[in-house]
Amino acid sequence: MKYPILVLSIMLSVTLVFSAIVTDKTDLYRSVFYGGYTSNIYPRPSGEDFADKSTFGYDIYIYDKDKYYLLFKAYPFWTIAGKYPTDWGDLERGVYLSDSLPYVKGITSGYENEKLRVIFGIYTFDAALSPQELIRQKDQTIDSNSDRRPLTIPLSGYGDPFKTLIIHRLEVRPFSGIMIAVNELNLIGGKMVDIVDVNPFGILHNTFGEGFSNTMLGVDFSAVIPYGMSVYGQFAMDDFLVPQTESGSQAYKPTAFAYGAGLRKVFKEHNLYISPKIEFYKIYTWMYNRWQPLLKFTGRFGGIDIPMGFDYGNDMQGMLIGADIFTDEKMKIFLGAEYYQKGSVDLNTSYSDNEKKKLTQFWCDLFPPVTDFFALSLKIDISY
Amino acid sequence: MINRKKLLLLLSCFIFVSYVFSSARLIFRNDPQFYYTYLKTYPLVLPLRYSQDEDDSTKLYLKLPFGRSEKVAGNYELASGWYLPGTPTDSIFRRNYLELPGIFSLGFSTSYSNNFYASFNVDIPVGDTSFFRYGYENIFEMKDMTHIGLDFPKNSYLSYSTDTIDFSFGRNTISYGPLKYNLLLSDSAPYYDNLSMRVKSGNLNYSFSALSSIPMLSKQEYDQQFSFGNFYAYRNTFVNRLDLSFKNFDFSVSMLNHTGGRLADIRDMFLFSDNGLFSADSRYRGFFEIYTAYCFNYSNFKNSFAAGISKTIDAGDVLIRACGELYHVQDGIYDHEVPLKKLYYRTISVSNNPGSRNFPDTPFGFFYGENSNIFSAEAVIAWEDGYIEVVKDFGNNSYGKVEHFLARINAKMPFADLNILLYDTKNADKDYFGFSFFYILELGVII
Repeated sequence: MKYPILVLSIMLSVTLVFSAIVTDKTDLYRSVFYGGYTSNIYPRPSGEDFADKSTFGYDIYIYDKDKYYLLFKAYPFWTIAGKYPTDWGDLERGVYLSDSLPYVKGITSGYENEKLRVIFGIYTFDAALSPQELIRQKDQTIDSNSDRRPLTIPLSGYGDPFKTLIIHRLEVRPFSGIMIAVNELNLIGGKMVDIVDVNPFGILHNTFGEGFSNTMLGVDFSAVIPYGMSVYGQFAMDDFLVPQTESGSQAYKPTAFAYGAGLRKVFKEHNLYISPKIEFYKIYTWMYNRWQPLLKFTGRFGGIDIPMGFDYGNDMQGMLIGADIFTDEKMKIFLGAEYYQKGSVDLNTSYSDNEKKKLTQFWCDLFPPVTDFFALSLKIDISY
Repeated sequence: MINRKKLLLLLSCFIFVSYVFSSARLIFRNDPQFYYTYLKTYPLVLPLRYSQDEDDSTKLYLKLPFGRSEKVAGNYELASGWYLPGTPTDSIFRRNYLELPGIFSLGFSTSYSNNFYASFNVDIPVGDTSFFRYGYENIFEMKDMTHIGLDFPKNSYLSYSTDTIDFSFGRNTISYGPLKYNLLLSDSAPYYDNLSMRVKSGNLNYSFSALSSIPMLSKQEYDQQFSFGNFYAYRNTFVNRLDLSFKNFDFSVSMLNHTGGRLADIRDMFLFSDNGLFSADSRYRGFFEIYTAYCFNYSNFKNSFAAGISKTIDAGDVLIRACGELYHVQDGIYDHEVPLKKLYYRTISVSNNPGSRNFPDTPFGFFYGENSNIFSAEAVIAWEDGYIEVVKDFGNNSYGKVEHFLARINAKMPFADLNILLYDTKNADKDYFGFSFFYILELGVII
């Protein structure tokens, strides 16, 4: 018998606010209340500051050794380098790149005007592997599509100590309050990145399991609707088994999607914004997973692998009910209650278990046995 | 009937002729405006920058090619395989395939303040192995979705340009030198993933490009590569060029440094590397244009030489040019015993039917490859928004006799581009004779 899982989290933080850089989503929630649309990505230059098209310059913000920013802006371009949390999407628990990661190290950059944004990120991750993981990473026979698979030299796969995520997004705002974005995530592992990989104007990069990359498609949508409400959603595709060309490959890379959708209402009482929301999530069984440790969509922090997207991992479905409560400057609170059903496949499940993978009915459905999963969260952040 | 009217109304609302121009916009050989701009400015570095007024705007578009491409005769078929390197012969025949529009393309262009221009173009092609097996299929007569190729985009970039500096980052072709087929860095490759800049200072201009190609190899190449020890999966190329221009005379020196199997350092970028080319070229612009180029490999001292003569008549709105160019390229000039150090740009073309992952390698320099003696003649009539071009190349290369004939009309029309091609290519006892005509409709919305 599987016992339900209960996660309780209470977090209190004190944050230094940087006027020129947006570091949370409160301005996104305010835009729902006042109308219009800003962006659901942070960090980025603050709207008021960046919209001044004569602005040209740089700022350095150091909070502590785990959080610092170097901002360079020359309208319509901006770049933020450093070590900082990042989040891409409206959802509390984004499905392709979210603040599930404590921080990223790298560059976030953008080209934007009133109707369009091209946003681009390169983030590096801890690539240290245990001896067993290194053997798995360098085993060139593990992925039948790798160009190194036919090699007879043992352990000749891509195993250089690098893990880099490249993400780029095209975000279009055709009408006031409506945003549609297409993202591509390209994870390069076992090889240092090159111009071919980081090219912000590439797509797919011709990477189809050649041994050093793993790609994911992300689609983002949000619309501000009347009565101070917004609807939003995200879809991520880690893999898709194309029936016309990949039939018979069910044990290779299973279809792996993740999506979430939500509804938010924002109202204001005196100086307090209150924003209740409800969100639904579905994370397919084999999402974020991969044979090679450096090609899993995870970041390693303190020896723990954290998914880059949905906080709790894969093989899950459920919902969140919560509220963001914040003032214009000083304080923000998140209160959330979540209920999920969790299948038995997680990111430690071997991706080489072909018998499990070819059970196509469990690509979408939860892999039994299924466990109930509850989470209660309280986050308080005081800014100064 | 009502639905049809609504559809027409909707369609007409979304049709715009695309005139989003910026001085930072790049133009390439297959752009209708290319030859007019080229013959007006005589550049030594491609791509060109379009010189018309900018318009701060963003355009989303869908391009739909209406037309056909037919093979009349020929016995060439592109080999299919699993990480299979191509030969120069494959590149020669594949060029005809690359001239065709894709099944459709979807993208955006955006410009700001006459200095910034960005273009992103998802041009979905017919797969190259599908094209040579089944022929071209447009979106309305696709027999099988597996005929779609996955080698895209081929031309997407971000560009910044001022009076003194040009900068670009993305995927596009580049060519350094006065010739149609340059000897050190040419636009033979389908594209380069590159970061490029040019510093302009009166008579002295400096250009720099950093290119990277995919580091993957075939099994045979890996066996050879590993025989030299462990290596990093890295293949980078750095090109430096200095142009000295006087009233009627240009002199330039260029250096291409290529490193493979290890990370590049500052020496590779600006001095020498594991393998590379050095070239000097000059051009005299009098009644005729006379130009020459000499290029040698500084690792093995193999060399190449080219000379050309051309005459351009400027009749105001119309420009007419005729030219003849002679090339001699020694065997082994682009070669190296270590696979990652060969002077070839490697892309990967993934197609599904016949299933294949090909490496269509192209030399950084001369398009027809090593051991070549080629004469190329070209005649062009260009106007502001189009050109007619006739090309005849003949001679021989490592794989035997080369013959290539191309006639092309490329013109901007209302709502669309007209593209008519006739080509007849022979090399290595293979031949391919075909023609195509396309009316490439552009549906765009300016946001």
